[in-house]
Amino acid sequence: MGGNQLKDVIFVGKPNSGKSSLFNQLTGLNQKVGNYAGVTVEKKTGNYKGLNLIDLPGLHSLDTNTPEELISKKKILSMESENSAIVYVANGTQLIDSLLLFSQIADLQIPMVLVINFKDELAKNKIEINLNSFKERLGCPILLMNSKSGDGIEYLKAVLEGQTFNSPNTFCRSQYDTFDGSSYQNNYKEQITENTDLKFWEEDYKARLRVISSVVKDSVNTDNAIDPLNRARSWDKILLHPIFGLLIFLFVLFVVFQAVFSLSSYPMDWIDAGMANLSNLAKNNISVPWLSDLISDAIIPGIGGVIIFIPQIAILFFLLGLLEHSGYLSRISFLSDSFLKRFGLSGHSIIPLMSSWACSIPAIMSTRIIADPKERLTVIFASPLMTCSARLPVYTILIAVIFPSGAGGIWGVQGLALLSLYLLGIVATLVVSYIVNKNLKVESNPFWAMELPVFRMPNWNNIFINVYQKTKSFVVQAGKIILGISIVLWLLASFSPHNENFKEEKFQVFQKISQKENSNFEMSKEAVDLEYSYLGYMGKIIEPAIRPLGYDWKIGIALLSSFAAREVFVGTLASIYSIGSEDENTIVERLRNEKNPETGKPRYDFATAVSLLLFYVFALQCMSTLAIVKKETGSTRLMLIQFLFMLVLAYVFAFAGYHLLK
Amino acid sequence: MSAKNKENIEGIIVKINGTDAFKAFLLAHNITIGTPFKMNYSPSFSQLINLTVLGKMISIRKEQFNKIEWEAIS
Repeated sequence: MGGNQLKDVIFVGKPNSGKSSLFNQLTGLNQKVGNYAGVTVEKKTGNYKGLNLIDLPGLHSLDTNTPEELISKKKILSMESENSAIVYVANGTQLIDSLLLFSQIADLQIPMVLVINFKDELAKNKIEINLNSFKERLGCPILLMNSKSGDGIEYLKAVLEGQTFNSPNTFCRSQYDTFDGSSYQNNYKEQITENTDLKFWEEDYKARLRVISSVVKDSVNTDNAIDPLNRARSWDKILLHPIFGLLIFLFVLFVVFQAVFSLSSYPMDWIDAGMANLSNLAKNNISVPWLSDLISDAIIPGIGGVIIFIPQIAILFFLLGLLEHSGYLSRISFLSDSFLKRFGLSGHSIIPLMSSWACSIPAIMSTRIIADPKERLTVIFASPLMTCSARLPVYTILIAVIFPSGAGGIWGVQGLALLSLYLLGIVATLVVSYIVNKNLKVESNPFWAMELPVFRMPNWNNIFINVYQKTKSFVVQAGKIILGISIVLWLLASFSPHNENFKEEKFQVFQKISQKENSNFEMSKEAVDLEYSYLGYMGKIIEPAIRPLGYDWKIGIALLSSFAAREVFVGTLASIYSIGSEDENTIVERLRNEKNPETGKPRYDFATAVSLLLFYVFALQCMSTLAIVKKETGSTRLMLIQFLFMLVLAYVFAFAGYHLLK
Repeated sequence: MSAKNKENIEGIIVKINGTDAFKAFLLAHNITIGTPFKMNYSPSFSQLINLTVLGKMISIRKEQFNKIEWEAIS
């Protein structure tokens, strides 16, 4: 192929061929990541010296029915050889397998270059490829490369820049020649596009396998070769072992969970403090009151509510990248598959589920590793029931209200209560997964297979690019929704149907009552403003609905405001009860002393606190999660169904808990 | 022939039972009549069978593997 008419260069290969590593080597961070129209299959495009590079999802064969692979197939079949070409990436240690797909595409007569990847592993396993003999047989440029290190990439750059792609020699194309009496026609493309007959594909496969086996036999010397899978087989005896394998698996999960949870806490605290300082700066330096409030109380906290998740997302995807690129992620899937299968899930679901303990947002984003659309939707639907880190402040405060510190002696009742809530989250997730999977009207892949790749050193370049893309995607997509809802909540909490005089009068009345009763806790102006705001009235409007759960309008406000994020519950309580501090001990003391004006008994008695705990176990009180569900599923309907389903679940359990214990 | 505890045994597929969709699915993973394979280690509790086919390690569910008839290669 000569001239400069080339526009699109498409990267094609089987899964685990190193195709994306090569794409990343050429494009770096200069990539656009989106979805193919109507589906959540990732579309990666990048630019290299004026050429539009497209990284297609991995493809096993042109005989495919999975949604992700169909996208690759359709793209290949719609290519026009005048202005597009293919970089086909083959795993050098699995040449026969890799060349089966190559031969199917070669018979379409599309200009190609064949990249034989994992040059280092070929050398290590003493597999010698005679490139000249190979080139002669295949008839297109062939490059030996290591996509991880970039060894040999200069040759690929030369092919791209010189546009020296070539249509390869055909493999089985002539089998599809037909003679209509005057001329020969070839119907290969029509056949592979339209033919769904199994016999056709079996015959095509066998014919290709014969030709390819002969080509590889002539061009590849394996006389002294070591089986590249030997090392993986030895490791698998330990990593998949019923006892050692499970112990290693639990240890790795513990490390991942701890790392996401604890490592992210430092940068999250810094972001939190930084946003608070920024907020104060805005408050003190903007002279227009409403603008100052909007920026300091809505926009900056809203942005903070987005970027505070960056450390968790980045750390989780970094660790997932390590597990995936090393080959261990497939072993984790293998080990957990039997257990999860009982609930309609598979081993692919384990990582998103475990990630939910840190945060549902990266967990839902990580469901893209699940190939089965039904299973993926099930995990997206059920995983927010796992106890995320945002529930912890709510749990610790409420547990401390009902169980004094040191209760239970060595058993530590507070700790046991917290553990019980985590276990309840796991049970709820599995039961809901089972129910959703049984009832979801989405076509499932009825068959299941997974490749166990060989163990490799992780590709740092790939991992960092992936972390960058996932984080950017969250900030841009979910951020818009979170910021919008933050502003709406601020408007509801800041504006009131009453004027300032009315609120000032109410404040004076509360102060007089407080002085008369010699109360230790004074009603702040902020608390009065909140009570008589639209949000305060909404709390009072929903009071009849939440009274059966043992809650009053003040708890109602906390429930409404914590829709933004669960942890806002604590801050709202601090504001309502005019504590002026989010210090846990102060809040706990205040909640313990709060009386129900109708009965004179504690407002936060055992039944109410348990009811609230159960509410937070089940309710989807997190707009960021809803935003990411909408983004990942592309469905507002599913997002609303999930929210309402979990709200009903929370209501029923909170109601039952309250009435059983009061 | 049961797949459990047959590590390192090599076999060849002689028949695949089940629907055409199942056979097509296996074909996309290079598993069809006449395909040689090698059994890899699979833990006793697992519902998955780990095979080597055309230089790749593939895990499939046990109930799927049970639909495949095969003969050991001596």
